[in-house]
Amino acid sequence: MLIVAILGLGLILIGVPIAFALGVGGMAGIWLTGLPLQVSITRFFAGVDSFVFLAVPFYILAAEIMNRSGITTRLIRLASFFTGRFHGGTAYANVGSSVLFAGISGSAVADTSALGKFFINEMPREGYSKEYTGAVTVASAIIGPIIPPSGLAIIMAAVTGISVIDLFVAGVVPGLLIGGACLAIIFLHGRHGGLPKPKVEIAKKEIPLLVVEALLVALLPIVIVGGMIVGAFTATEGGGIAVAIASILGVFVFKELNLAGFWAAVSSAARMSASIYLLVACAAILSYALNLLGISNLVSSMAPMFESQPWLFLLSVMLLMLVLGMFLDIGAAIVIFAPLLMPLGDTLGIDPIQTSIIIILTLAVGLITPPVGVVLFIMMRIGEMKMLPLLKQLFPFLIAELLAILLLVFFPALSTWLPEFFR
Amino acid sequence: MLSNIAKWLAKSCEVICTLLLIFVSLVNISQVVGRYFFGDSLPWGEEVMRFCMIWLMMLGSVACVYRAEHMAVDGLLNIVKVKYRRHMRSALYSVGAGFCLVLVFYGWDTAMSNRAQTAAASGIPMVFPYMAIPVGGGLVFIEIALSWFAGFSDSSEAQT
Amino acid sequence: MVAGFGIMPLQGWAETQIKFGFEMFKGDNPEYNAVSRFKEYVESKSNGEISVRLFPGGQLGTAREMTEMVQQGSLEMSLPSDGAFAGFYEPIQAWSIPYLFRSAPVAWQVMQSDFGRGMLDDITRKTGMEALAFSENGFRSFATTGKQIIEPSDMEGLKIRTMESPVYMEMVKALGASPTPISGAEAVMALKQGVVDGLESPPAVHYTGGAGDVVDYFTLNEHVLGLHIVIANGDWFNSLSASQQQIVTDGSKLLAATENVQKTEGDWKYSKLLEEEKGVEVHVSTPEEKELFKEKTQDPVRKYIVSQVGEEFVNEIMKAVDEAEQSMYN
Ligand code: NA
Ligand code: NA
Repeated sequence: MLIVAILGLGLILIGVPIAFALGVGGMAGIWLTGLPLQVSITRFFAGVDSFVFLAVPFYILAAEIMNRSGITTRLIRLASFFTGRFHGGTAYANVGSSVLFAGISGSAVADTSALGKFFINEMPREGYSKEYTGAVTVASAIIGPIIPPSGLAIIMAAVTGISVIDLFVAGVVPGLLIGGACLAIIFLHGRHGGLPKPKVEIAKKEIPLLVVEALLVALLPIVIVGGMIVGAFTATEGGGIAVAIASILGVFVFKELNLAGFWAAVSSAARMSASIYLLVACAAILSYALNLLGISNLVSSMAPMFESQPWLFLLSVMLLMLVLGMFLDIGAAIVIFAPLLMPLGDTLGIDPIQTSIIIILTLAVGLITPPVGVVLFIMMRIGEMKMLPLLKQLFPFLIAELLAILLLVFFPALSTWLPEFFR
Repeated sequence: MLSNIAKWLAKSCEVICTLLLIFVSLVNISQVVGRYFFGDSLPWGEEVMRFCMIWLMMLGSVACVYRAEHMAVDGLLNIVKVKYRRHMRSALYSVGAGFCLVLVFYGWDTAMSNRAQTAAASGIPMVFPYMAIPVGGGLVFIEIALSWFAGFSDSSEAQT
Repeated sequence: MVAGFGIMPLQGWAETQIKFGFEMFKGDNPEYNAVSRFKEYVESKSNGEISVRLFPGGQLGTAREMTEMVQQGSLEMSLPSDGAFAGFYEPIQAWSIPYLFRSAPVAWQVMQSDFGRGMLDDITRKTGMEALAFSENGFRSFATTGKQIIEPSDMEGLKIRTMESPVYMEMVKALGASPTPISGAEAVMALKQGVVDGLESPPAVHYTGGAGDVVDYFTLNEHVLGLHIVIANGDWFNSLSASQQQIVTDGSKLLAATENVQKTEGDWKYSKLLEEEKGVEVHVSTPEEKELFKEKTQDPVRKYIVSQVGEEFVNEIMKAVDEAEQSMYN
């Protein structure tokens, strides 16, 4: 079993595409169990032949379409409308836009690329440093996969069997908490006039249209998440509805989505889905082999280490995910580690929803930590900035976000109360 | 010449994937619309969507090879001198080529031994979804092999 | 074509090791007990020449996937349900005619009849898998949220989760409800969210599968007999010596006999557990109520099955049932 784990991890670390590394490791594992290698084909297929997982491409597609349909600019103007009077107003608006955007997109990458370009032009003109702008943008971008809909929540649900809806609903409070942490840091910076006042002008006559458009955009998460809660449709069907609404808004209401843009959105969503699917299919081979080789016994033998202290376990999970998030793709980290950790949490009496949320949040923070932080890289590319100065500005935000996650470790209700309420 | 083939193969796969995703989205939307407005949804809808996604996964992976879009840890790649990077990347992807060979051989066997099995709701012979594995595995293998001679797409170079 | 990959098991297993995969978890339940009986029987009768390694709890995959593995030879034996097996052998659906069997013992007798043995042979011929025995997987019944089902009219307008099998969808339709085919893994979640109002399974599955925690009502109306088939890889089975084949065949009969008895016990045992442990309100349908369900469902579903598998199998099984009932009840 150790050989399999080392082989898989070794291949990943030298830079073999993660999916292939997992597949090769998995096949080695199947061979060790004494089952014919043929079995790996069945697992590869079964790993993604799932209705829950079918939700992934739809939410990716919905976000891609929205990025190209002018919804982003509406969100930013709406957020600016509320924060225009304050010092640091545009920084607040940046966070606010991220929270709003999180309600329609499932990924931090989408958030950064959609909102980043606007703010990196706007905020330095008002007097913010480029690096501070970048720090605010990425720190709040990670709310994207926390507030529903969330790509990470779907992957988590597919590999652990927890209800997608429960995970979606459970993400609302933690997402707002992370947003609050960012706002608090901005407040600390700006309270004595340390941050500039906004220059975004919103004319009075613009307001009614702004409100109407904002309501239309807000309609999307409300219809999707609400529809799932009342049982009108499943999470997968909700994804289809998100695609439909986003297309209709883009083509008929905001009139910014044309055929070429639509094709580009679908094509990019298809490629992204393919690589996620391949990753999960390959991981299915590996986890199948590890299970047969007895990894669950190994993991459950670790239970006494935590002396039935749930917080000790969750803290360890947080540390592990922080380290993993620094190196690994976070979807891959969920696929590989969540099924192993979840039963251990269960034996300690922890609500699997709490464990899931901690994993998702900590991994999301991994998106903005070096050395491998996808969102960090995107920001560096969009803003043409170096890593170190950006990290220096980002540091207080990171600390605040980790503190917010600690709150979730010690207060289970923050993640479990809302899903229970809607059940 | 070889780089044209690599590009053509990737683009064709990408177009098929895009059409597949449009189709799958339409089926998904029609499930909900059907249930609420016509009181009945397509019984085969879910199965067809799942099977299409298997094809999308395999064909999309071909395009992702060409664009070097498969998720990977790039640490080692960035240490290597720029002029060797292309070959380094090909070498790393070639581990995947070995994996693909297994997909081709055993996937073919699996597809063939399931000639007679039909899917529960749609009655589609299981050979159709299973065939995606050897066919897609073979195409990914070819795309990886071509990358040794033709490199990757231009946009992928910008990422390194 | 794959010989080149040289699949040499490291553990050096004996040629006569049987890997037996099945869906139910390890524990004191009819399925696990029955397969364990098989293991003990075969290992002791063969003087340890044949060893049996059990893979319970779907560790190796779903019933459909394990059947594939048996067909390909990655797995020696498995115990698929009729639903999972229909994709490999359509006529198996003939057993799913609603209210075909008046009681479990009638079904057992049909399994042993010429018809039953003939179908086992037919499976072996058509699929290449050695079909060794049929056994009972419990009668299927409805569990619902919000509304207790007493008569068929109670089902009007309900959304009922069914297996992804057209036979069950037809049956639910015949009762005036709308069938929602959802995979087993999603079923309880769909129920929780209210995407469906109920589902249908044997009581043991309602209890162990988690539906018991979500539903309010259970009706032991026993509409369809769930069937298990004991299957083995054909090439592997034929490679055994005649005496080894006999041991495996006899072991399979013992498996079937054990499961038959324990599944029938399970119908009331698990109904009781649903009531006492899960707080589900249980209604046991009277013969009169069952007659109402039968009137609504039997003909439409039989017609559908005939359209799928042809007149011949359906007529034969009806005849076998008649004969069994006559010999039992005169
Ligand atoms: Na989101
Ligand atoms: Na932001």
